[in-house]
Amino acid sequence: MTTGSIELITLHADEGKVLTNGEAYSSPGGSVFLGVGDNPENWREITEEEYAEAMAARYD
Amino acid sequence: MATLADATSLMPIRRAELAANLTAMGVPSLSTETFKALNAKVLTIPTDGTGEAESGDLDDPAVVYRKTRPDDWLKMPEVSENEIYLLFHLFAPTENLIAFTVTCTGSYLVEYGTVVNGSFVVSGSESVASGLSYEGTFGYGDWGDETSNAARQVMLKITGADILTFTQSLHSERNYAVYMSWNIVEFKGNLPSCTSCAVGSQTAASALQLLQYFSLEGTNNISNATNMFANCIGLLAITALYTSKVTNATGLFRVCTKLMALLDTFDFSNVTNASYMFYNTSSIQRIPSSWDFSSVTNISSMFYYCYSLIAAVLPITNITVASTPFTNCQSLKNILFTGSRTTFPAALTLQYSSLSSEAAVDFFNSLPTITTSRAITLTNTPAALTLTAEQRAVAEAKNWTITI
Repeated sequence: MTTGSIELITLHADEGKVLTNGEAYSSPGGSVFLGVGDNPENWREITEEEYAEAMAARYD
Repeated sequence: MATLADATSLMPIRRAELAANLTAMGVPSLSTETFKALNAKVLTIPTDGTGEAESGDLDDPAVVYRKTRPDDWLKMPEVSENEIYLLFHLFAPTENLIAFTVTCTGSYLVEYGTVVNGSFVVSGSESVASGLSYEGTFGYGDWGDETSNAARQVMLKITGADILTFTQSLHSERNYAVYMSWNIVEFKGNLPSCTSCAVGSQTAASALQLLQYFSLEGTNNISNATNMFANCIGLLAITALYTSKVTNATGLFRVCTKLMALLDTFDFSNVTNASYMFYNTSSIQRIPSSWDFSSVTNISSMFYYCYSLIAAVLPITNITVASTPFTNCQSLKNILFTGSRTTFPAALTLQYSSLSSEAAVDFFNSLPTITTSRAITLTNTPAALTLTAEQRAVAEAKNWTITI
């Protein structure tokens, strides 16, 4: 029998910031728990104002 | 975690049927909480009903019909093939307009009158060529006694050969450009050749907003049911509708905000486009486990604004478009995917849902392993506060990213 392990990566947004990959969003100051094939470079921080603009555009 | 077998013993109502359906769909073992929610009986009768609530299947349209339909409304006569009955309500003091168009072979006959002892009694009639609009004008003072909802009533009967389509129409005496929301409160038909029976419309002013009850008996040829009931905001029950030929159900029940009782027997097995199908169908609480959505490819906004939806099971094998299917489902406690695939077309937003960590794990267990990561947004859910690293790992190991 062999055993293996997977590395699970968590990203935390700074206070007042939102994490996004352009499609999904964390809550302000929230966290993102990456799937095993996801890459931290897919995610970036935006301001709450930018988040509000993105949501407004989505539901227009 | 309880197994499916354990859970069935807790749910005497249709437990064998539900267990068989879930097993056939490949649903893994569920928590007891999820199983209860999937078979919940939590519906309440609409508050404007005339009868007392009962403990039976209140999500049965026949029960809703019986319990909510005012006794002083004219009874709907028995309907034969290629016949439609419309119960039309008249309000004081204005004259009441109605207009619709029927296509059929030759002309169609519109008779109007009342119902006595279950039989239609004719007062007048008009023959209209197929494809042309019937326009009626009925004076409030000319018709019978007032009902409990301050209406008087006319029964209209439409007959024609091989009726293909029915739709409400503009009336030449009405100035509003798109107004077709005539006071039809009940529709009952039997149209074996029918390809379209659009009592709803994407434009609210063109939908029959006072329609409360709809029945289309027998079979039909409706394959494109786009917006068939859209904006029928008064609709309470659909007591008969053959759906086996429907492939496009886009917006089928869109903004039917009072509709909570849907037939378990609906056959959606040929539906491919279910986008906006239940958009703002805000009273619906459950999706019957007997419904077959296995052919569906488009679930965009399928349950958007389903504020009352508690639980849903959705086959995902053939889905290619999946933008915001569960957005603003604030009551959603349980969701399960069935079927297998190696990719998923979009991120999933379960933001503001009522998913607990236990229910989230059930959902994670139902997810496929995918090759390209997709995100599941759980912000502002109970699960966001209580999911443990071990529970999150169930999804992460399948390459789903969780945002909270």
